[in-house]
Amino acid sequence: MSRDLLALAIALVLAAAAQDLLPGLPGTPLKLPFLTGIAAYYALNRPVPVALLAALAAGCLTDGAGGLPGGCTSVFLLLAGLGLRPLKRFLLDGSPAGVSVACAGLALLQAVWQTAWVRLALPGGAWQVVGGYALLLPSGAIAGAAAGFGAGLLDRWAGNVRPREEIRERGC
Amino acid sequence: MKPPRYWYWLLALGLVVAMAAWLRTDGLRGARELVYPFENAATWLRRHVAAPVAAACRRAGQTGRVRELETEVQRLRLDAVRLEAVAAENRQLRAALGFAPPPGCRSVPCPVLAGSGTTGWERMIRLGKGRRNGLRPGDPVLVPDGLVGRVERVTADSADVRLLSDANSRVACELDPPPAGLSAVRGVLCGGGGRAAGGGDLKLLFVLDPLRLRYLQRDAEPAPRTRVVTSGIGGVCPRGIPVGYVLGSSADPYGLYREADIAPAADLDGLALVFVLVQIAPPAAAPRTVP
Repeated sequence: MSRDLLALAIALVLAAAAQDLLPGLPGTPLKLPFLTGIAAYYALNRPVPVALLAALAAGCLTDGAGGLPGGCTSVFLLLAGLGLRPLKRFLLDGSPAGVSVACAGLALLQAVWQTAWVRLALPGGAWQVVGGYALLLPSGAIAGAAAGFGAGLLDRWAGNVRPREEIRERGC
Repeated sequence: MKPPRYWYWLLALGLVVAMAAWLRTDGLRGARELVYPFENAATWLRRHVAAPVAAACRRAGQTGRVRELETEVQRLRLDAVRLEAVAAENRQLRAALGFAPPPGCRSVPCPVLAGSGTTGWERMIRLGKGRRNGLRPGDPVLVPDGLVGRVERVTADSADVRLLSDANSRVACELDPPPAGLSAVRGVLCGGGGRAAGGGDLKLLFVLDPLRLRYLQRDAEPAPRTRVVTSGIGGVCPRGIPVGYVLGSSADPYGLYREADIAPAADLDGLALVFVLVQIAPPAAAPRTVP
């Protein structure tokens, strides 16, 4: 349990630091959604209570470090964690590529959710707003891939997942 | 695989804590405290590592840039010197373009090849044209500013010119205008030549004396800066070619004549292109036929 929880904590802290320190997307106040990627990874790879706990923590970190009202992102990520479960089969069983695709979609929906929650619009004209949202798709994919890869490494270190060769050798 | 039960407890605890935090105004400040060390570390790295490295790189780049600029300045200085020479040549050629020879003469432009010959005793220059171009001994040599000298020796393709400043140079001149009350004041312009500086001892310094206008009428005292022109007497030089300007005058040792120091009108040391005045041969008279 301790290693599992430690892996989750490390993943969340590193993702929060990366999201906080890296510059925002050009022309928008949005940032690379690494915490959303962590939530997506846990939603696609881990049991429901772990996924929900990760989504709750990722949402709290996003809101707390991002100046959003409490519950704004946490509620969204909790709902997203539940909603992604049925799509696990279509998202390559939680591989980094699947996490990347899931994170791209979640990043876009999360931005819409946040702007609706705080009743604020993205700055600029209509095309700039559309461009800003559209930019979230590739940036979400990149952040999701990075988060999925990093969280996967931590999971292997914690012993939660095993390489396929090892499973074949041990017959378990 | 069913997850252990403690995950449910953790989730429940997390939800309770989160909801409690949501209800407070600044309940999520822990998140900011969590990322604060990373922000602090990033700032420290930016200030103490990235900034010095960037400054060192910038300094290295600036050193190279300074070296480039110094090279560029040297090149531009050389260009400026070269352009000064070109501008001086341009001025000289423009003046030469406006030079018109006296009536009955044509001017032959000649490049100056060398000065003083193989020894420095005579004040001579060598021209790059000679007999083939119509030059003859005695022809006057001048520049737009005034007379320079006369052709002394001629070969097929070169000519030696004795300058006015040579001690053996003699040119018939007159004052222009003559002093009041006189129709003309004429004399013979003699070259000052050169002499070693100081008395008797051999010195490296060599002084050129000014030209001397001799045999002037004793009572005709020319004002300083009076122009001196060729008088045309003797038929060697056409009349009216500027020669120099009076610096001062005095009676000769015997009191018979007056002598004047003359500054040459032309710069005799910086000659590059000169004109030789060649007299145009008068057309041969048609043979008279007797009916």
